[in-house]
Amino acid sequence: MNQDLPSSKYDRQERLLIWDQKIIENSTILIAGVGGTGSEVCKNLTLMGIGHLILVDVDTIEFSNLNRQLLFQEEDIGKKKAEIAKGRLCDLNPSVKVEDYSILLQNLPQSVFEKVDIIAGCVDNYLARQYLNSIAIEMNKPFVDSATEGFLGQIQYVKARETACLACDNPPPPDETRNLSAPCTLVGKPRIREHCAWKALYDFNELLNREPNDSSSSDILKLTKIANQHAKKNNFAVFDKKELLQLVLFHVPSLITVNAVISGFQSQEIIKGLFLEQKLALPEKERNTLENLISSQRFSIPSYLIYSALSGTITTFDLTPDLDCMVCKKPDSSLKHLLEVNIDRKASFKVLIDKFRMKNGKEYVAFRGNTLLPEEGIIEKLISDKDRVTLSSLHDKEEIRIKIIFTTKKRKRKKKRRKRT
Amino acid sequence: MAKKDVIWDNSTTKRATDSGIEKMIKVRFKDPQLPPDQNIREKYINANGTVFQAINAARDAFNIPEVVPIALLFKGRRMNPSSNISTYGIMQDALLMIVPDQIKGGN
Repeated sequence: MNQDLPSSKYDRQERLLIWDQKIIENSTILIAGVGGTGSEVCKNLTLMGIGHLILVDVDTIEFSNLNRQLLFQEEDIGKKKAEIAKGRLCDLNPSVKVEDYSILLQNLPQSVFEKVDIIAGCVDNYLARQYLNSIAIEMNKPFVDSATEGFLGQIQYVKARETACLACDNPPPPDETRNLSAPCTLVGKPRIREHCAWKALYDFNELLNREPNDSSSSDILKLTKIANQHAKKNNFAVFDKKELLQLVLFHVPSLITVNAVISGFQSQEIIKGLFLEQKLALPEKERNTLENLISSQRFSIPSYLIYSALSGTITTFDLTPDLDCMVCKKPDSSLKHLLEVNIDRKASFKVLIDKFRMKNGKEYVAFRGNTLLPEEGIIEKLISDKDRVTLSSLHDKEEIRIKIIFTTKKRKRKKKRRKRT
Repeated sequence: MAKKDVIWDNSTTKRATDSGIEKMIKVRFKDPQLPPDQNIREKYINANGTVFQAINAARDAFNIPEVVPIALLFKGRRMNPSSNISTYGIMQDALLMIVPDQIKGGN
């Protein structure tokens, strides 16, 4: 080997004023959504030499993804995005550890979120975004969310209870999701007609282990049939194909250039966030430089960034947290934090409600902040051991956060068996 | 619904309509997507009106069509369109930032 060649492939980035490759190599980033922005963020972080990437995406690769999602090729159509992305990223940089989960975000075990340093949101819908936001707040993890639509893109950096979160000032949800309360509709009884459409999408995934293709007439027919079965069963009007497409398979316009700009910013803010979070681990010289830059206001992470490809402008704002935000407001004295409750895994959530019945009745159980859990739902089917749920009263805003620990009866069973023998 | 007869005078901060007299305040709308020397415009808005009315005033000031979803930020807080202007404590000459609303895609 030529001795003049740099010894590290990260040589050029290591020449930066503030850089510590060890921090990057020891970090774990969760990327929710491996689509247009997600795949770009994956590529950036992989080539930077991030230690551990966790990819979560339930989607399969479609023909229309190929013009902008660089990790996928024509032969991958119909395969799981997270799985294929993992293979391509390992080829790009074999020293990066990549984990993939082709499941709904809501089904991702809490233990996965616990081990990450930063959560990157690259999802394409309001509900998933709000779900990630509530988890990031609860687990006190920095959350960098990105969104693109046509010529516009935005990034929001959420630092739990320091900056504004995505639920602050309660921005109204987009029209098509306004009628959808929470992903609990996937397992509970549909309360409104639109829930039937979402249940159908969920059933389709479960049945065929893939997303429906909006250009396949047989997929749409099948989806409509399932949705109408739910609608009839629950006495709602049936859907026609066009309405169902608009409701659950609506895709916003997307441009690779905007995705690339936004994912570039997002990756950059993730790296900056890592250095800020692990400032003390930086070598002394870099740490001093960083602190000087921070004090002279030349190093900061804007809480909100907007990019317009039409006007070629990038604007940053510092969003102020909403002190009454339902998700990120500081817990007051009325919130009893993390009571540990031993409960039978086969019980329903009604048991919890009965156990902690609060004043004025009408309580609901929520999972990680905003996912309403049906009263009749079996605990074991919806949450795993040591998960946290919140019990809230709609009337007096009182809340109790509960850590559920499943009771085990294995010992008793063994004794009974011994007696029988 | 009958169209309101509006008597408008630039020198006053009150506007008379058939439903009474509305107190008007002058605010500055800023659209950061425009060049710096053109991105602030002044407009009178109803001090007791809704944020939605203020959004419409912002559209009017910058000729932003209704198909482009926008929101307003005041002191770093996103204003809820159905809330009343008075709940945000907006005073004369307040600066309201125009930002795109409902960017929700990702793939």
